[in-house]
Amino acid sequence: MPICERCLNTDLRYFTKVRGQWVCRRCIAFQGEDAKALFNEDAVEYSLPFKLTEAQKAIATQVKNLAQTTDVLIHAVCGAGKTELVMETIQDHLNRSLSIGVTVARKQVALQLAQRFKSAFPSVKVIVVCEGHTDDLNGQLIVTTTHQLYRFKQAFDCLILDEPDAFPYRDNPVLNGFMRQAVRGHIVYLTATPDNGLLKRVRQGKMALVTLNQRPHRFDLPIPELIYSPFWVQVIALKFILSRSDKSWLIFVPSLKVGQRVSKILNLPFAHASCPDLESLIERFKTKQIRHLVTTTVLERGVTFSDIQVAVLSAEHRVFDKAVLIQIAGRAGRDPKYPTGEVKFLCSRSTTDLRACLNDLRKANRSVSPVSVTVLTD
Amino acid sequence: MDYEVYAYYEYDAYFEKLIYQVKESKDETLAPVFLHPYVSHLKKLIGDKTVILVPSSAKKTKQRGFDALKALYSGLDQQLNCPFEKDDVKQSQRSLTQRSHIKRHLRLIDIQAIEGKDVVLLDDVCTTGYSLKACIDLIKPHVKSITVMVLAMHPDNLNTNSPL
Repeated sequence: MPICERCLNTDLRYFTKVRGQWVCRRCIAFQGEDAKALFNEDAVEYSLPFKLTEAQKAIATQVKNLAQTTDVLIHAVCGAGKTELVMETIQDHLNRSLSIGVTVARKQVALQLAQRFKSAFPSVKVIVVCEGHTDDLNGQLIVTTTHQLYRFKQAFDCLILDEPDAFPYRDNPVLNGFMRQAVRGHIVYLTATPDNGLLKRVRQGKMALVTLNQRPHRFDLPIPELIYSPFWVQVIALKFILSRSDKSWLIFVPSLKVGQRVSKILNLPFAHASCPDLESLIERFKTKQIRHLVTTTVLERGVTFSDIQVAVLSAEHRVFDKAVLIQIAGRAGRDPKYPTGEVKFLCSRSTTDLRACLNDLRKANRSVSPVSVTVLTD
Repeated sequence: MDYEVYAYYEYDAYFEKLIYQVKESKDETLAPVFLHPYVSHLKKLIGDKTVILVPSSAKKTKQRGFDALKALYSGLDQQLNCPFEKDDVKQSQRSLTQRSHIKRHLRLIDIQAIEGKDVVLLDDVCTTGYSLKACIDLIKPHVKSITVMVLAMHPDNLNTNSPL
């Protein structure tokens, strides 16, 4: 879709090719003798292999508009299609020749995202900057890990920060500092679990909040079932659940030690951060070569498995705060072909985080409109 | 004026703005629009007479990238020649007295094109009429007849001889 660089006109009737150059006739009279025949014939438009829902489109446009004047917090539930929500904003900045970047906490996600952007914007120079890829710092769309942001001084007119509540970015003043000095324009935060700091800024009117409570397949978010029992009973209960189910289960444990014990008892593979073949385990679980997988919180976010059920052992453990629990519950029901999934939180007692997690998820499902925009004025 | 000048439009502020858009903002696409509703009329008026244009400054035309007068009359779909030559002066930026001296800057260089012919002289706008008069005086001794047509006429000169 062509767009005039000067007056942002997109009405095709005003464009005419004169002596080999394109002219926007809507603004030509305003320029008097300085009228130059120029407009951006290479305007970009993103293309996706699937269609966006009305809700997603509405959010995408809202964010694009808001990002022109303010920081934006996109609160989208797990599996809502967060990346698609910022395509419009990226496209807008590319067409206005403004610098735009996307930054994420982890290298793997950065590489994945860069690939997706390359497919969506085939004519745009998309580069990824992360460990092992630091030679080329020039691109139209730059995808980086938060760590690498120190290389970019006041470089971005708009920076999209994916999952500000994820490790290692979360609560890290150094990475936070790198990020803030890299932006000269506005920041767009993307997360399913915004922390209090971000929400506070929204309340203070310093940031706009856009909420998306709906997954593209429109099915409700799976609500976790709480099962109260002491730990050793939990393991037996889990064994029982697994034997009765013909589905694939992802089992979260609070620590390395517990994971090793449980995986031994249940005779199941165990995935954790320092696991040498983590990639392969993930692959094999994805393709159902492995039927059940025990894991630490390393797989709480950033992965999409199809048709899985989720269980958490010792869900009362302090490592499972509200955000983590929401992310874990969000692993189920992502695939439109399998939009539902069982989520079981096995715990020895109730905690505020457990209650808050269920509360938030129920609230999201109950929300009257899937989309909401909050812009408070100072 | 000894000769009658025909016009299709009144030269008001709006027309002036549009002509400025064509000539200075170089909106070439707009140029043929003025004549468009009257093309068949003008073609009939011309018949098989010889069409000649009032001169434009060569430097200006080069700067502009296109010949404005030719663009304005492009709807006629025929070869439009200009047997004159003009120095680089802009009538619109001169005082009345200065304008009356335009004839000092105009020369007829292609007599053969008009010798003994019935001629139709075209211009875009007639304000003082001095440019047209100068052209007419130069070709008078050579031609059989002269018909003058402009797109717009300054209201002070309007007479009942409008072809409409």
